[in-house]
Amino acid sequence: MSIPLSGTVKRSAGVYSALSKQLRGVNLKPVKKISISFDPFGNKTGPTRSLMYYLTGPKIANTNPNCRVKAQVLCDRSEPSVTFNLNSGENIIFKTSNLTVLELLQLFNKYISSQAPVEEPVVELKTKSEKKRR
Amino acid sequence: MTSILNKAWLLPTRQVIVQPKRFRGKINIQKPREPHYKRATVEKFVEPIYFNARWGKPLSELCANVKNKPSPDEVNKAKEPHPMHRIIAREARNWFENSNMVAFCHMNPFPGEEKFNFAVALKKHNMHFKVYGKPTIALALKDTPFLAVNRLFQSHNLTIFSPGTDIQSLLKLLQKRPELVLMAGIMNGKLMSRNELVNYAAMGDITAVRSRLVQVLQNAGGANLNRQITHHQSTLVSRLKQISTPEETTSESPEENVE
Repeated sequence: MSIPLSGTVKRSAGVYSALSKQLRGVNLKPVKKISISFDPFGNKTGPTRSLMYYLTGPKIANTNPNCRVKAQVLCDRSEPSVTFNLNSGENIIFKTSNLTVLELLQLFNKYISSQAPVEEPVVELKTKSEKKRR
Repeated sequence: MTSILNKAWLLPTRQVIVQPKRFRGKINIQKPREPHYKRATVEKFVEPIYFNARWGKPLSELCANVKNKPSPDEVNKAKEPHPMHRIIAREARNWFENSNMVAFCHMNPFPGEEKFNFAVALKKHNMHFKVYGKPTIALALKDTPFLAVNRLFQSHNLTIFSPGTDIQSLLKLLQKRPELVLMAGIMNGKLMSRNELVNYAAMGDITAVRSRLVQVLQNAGGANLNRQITHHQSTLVSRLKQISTPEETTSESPEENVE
């Protein structure tokens, strides 16, 4: 009888590896508008700002060019938050003061990216002559 | 005839092909025969005995994974900033001390080409942007009145420095750049939040505001009010001017006075 597996097979590759893994799955298709509000002098605004950085990156922004990202700088020491207005009419608010970037991306993928329609692979139609060329 | 003879005598000697071959076939390397008793005794006797450094030590010392605690000297050395890092920090401090306007922006992904165009647009207004990291700024602004700014240097950021205070044109330039989000700024040594900066920009030029104040005073207290308010100052200024320019008051030259 073999010993059942308990624990991980290999060591964790680190936070950045986990971040890149989450970023690969980010899809902005279900989102209409993202509004990010933070007070730069407040506590723990780093993850919120990093999330904004990642979501406005060219690769992720291209998943939905119609999605607008709006940054609101507050001056009242209020907690940072991110609001996602979805195409379905839903609003999802992330209160980000006690979350890390990785957790935020995991939540995004869990609640928002999962709603994106699955793309079917496009089959290219070829003529006989085109087929012969190859 | 001679040529034939020459050919006969000077014919090259034939090369002898030599194929070395061992006497009595192959040697037995795989399974050599045991040496003679006397030779075996000598070989055993001269076999070196090496010192084993691990022999007799406890398991805790033998473990290769044990991490030794670094000495205080090593800790202090690791904490010391790199000389290059210190030079960059000094430059950053210089920028802070010699700028009348500093604007702190959050930076989203900003392609290099666009960044260059932005730098050119800023340069036209005598502004420059720099990107510094958190540890550099912490080192640069140590023991300075700008310490509160440290909090802004999280995530990705960009700082704009200018010896002037042309906030209106800066705001106009930033409006065209959605990648940059203005967070705060320092105007003439005073730290301002984003809203305060926008309000400050809306106020306009200070000389225009002063002239507007004078106009309000004129309207409120009659045509002579402004002159009455500044009467003492203006007389003082005129007296001081008279004292400071003796050549105009005395028509004669000093040589003539001596005579």
